[in-house]
Amino acid sequence: MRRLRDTAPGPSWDRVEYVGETGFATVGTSQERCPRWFAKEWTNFQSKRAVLCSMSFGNGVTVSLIRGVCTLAIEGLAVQNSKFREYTGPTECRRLAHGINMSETFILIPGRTSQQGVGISEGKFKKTYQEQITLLQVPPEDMTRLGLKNDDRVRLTSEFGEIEVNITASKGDELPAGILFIAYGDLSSRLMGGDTHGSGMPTSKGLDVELELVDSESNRHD
Amino acid sequence: MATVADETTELKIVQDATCTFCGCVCDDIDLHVKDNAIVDAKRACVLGKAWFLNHEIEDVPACHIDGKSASVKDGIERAAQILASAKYPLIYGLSDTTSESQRVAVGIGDWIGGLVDTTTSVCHGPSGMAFQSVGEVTCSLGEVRNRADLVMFWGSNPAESHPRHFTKYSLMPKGMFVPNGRKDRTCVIVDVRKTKSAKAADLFIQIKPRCDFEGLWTLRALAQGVELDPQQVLQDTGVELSVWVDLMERMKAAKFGVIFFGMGVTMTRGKHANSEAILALTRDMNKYTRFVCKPNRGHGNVTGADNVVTWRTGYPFGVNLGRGYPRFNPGEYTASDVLARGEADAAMIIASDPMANFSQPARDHLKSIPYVALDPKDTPTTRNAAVSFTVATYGINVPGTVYRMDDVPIPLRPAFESPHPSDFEVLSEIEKRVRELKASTLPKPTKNGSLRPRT
Repeated sequence: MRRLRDTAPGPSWDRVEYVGETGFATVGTSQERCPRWFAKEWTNFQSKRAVLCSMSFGNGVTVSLIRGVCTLAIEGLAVQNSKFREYTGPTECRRLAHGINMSETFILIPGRTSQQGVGISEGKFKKTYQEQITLLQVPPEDMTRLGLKNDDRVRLTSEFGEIEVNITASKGDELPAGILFIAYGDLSSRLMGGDTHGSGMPTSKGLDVELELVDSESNRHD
Repeated sequence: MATVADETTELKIVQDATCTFCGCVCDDIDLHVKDNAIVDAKRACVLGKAWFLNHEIEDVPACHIDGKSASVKDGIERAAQILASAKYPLIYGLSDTTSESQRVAVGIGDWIGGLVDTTTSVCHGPSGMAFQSVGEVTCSLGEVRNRADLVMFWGSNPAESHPRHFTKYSLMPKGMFVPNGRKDRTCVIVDVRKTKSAKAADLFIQIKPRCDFEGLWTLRALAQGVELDPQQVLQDTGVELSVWVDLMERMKAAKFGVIFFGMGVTMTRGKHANSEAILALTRDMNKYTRFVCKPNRGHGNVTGADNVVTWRTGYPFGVNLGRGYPRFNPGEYTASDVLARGEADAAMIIASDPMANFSQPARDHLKSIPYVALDPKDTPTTRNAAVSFTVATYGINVPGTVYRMDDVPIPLRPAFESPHPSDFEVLSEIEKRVRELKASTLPKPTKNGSLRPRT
């Protein structure tokens, strides 16, 4: 689990050091492991000395890369809200920059789609089916509110499991705010519990899930 | 006669072929077959076309044992050994095979003293429970086509799951008592999402998720003339009382109303209580007019599975034959439960994919026990099986009988033969071998030939 760790809190703003995994700057690693979008957006990137790069997202958030150590500085907030410790990687910077500072609770409705049905006939290991069951539909207004974009990657966590999927905005007013949709399949079933409450049927629709941004589309393509 | 050969093009046309992809079981498809491939499927919907046109004979061995190719004969022997030696074996699936195969599978379950469960348990199993507690006021799809002037869909999205439902059975057809077709019918859709089906609705009611029970009981109360608090109704259902009142007036004014309900009802909170509420509401409405309901069934022969298991055991799914007589208890004898609790010690999965669709604890346990899988296609379930059979596809390669979602049996008219054995052939051989293995363990008959203990 990637986590942020407090280091050297200052009097006016607290410094949080990120100890990451693959795909992001980690303690002792070189800048090359920093995602390209991350590096690209930063100023002073060419400098390889003390402060390699620094970027302010507003909202009191500043991110710096110092000798391969990424630091996330959050003015006056890190100590006030211990949930920042749970935040992970560069996506957290983006989330903070957009004012999103915690995971969101949604109700997930897995269901049938005609393309999923087509995919079953083509073969469950083929593209159509796999694309359908791994794509989460999010209401457009929730996308806007959370600063999410099509093809962003999110983590859904239920009481029984967690999955990572790409997202797309649902069409028109198909989904009301607070409701997510995904085609039935391997991933949606990982969020179900084994108990059927004496019915033989696990609760497969209307699942409470937490949604967190894991990786943004622009991060992967920059 | 269904099959016509055209000598000039060598194109075979199979008339009135039956599509077994979904529960509509459309039996008016014309298949154009060339070189053992279906090149066109006239009148088929998007799902039907994908079902027929993507059909190809899998170029794989008909049997694998522990992931290695094997002869069918060896596979049958291994499968029979696994099932006959198990203490608490499970037979599961059955919704995408012929009723003839289903009959044999239940027979195997009887011989091995196992559990017989079908995909109904994770589909409309809760409705099956509700049928037993309330009963079902119902009809055939032909009656809906010819009579229904109020068509409701609750928690069901036929535009995506049953694409010809509207055009062939429920909304568009001109019927005997609805001569103007769509113009004579009112369509009401109740759902938590504004689905593609909602576009076809005259009245769309978007209820709060997990509040189907509250919505249905609001209607039941209105049908009984009970006064309701508007604030409470809005809070409970997410819909204004006036909308429910309007719907109830339409329902009472209809000459023939029908409620099709889907897994939006059975898979969400309330489950069988939701289905009971729909069945009870339908019954209530017959005080005012003719009203029926019908679950929209998903797989091609899941209704057949209910019928066959009921003929043979008296119960529709989740049957335990371990004591030599059938016992029924959803939640105790249903596949999802016995696997998630780690109880079954062997299994046979027929035309189903629990390794992709069950909860993680159930999948983990299934992966840990020896099981047999029969499927025309490569699936996560066949890949993890101790013995897997690649079988011919019912309806395309194999004849037989399937049941439409309204319990009407329909014959299959296959397009061409497959080099792979059918489910029926494999299951029949497994049953034969299981009987031989189990015969030695049965009590010896008494002199009068009876197995019944003397009293």
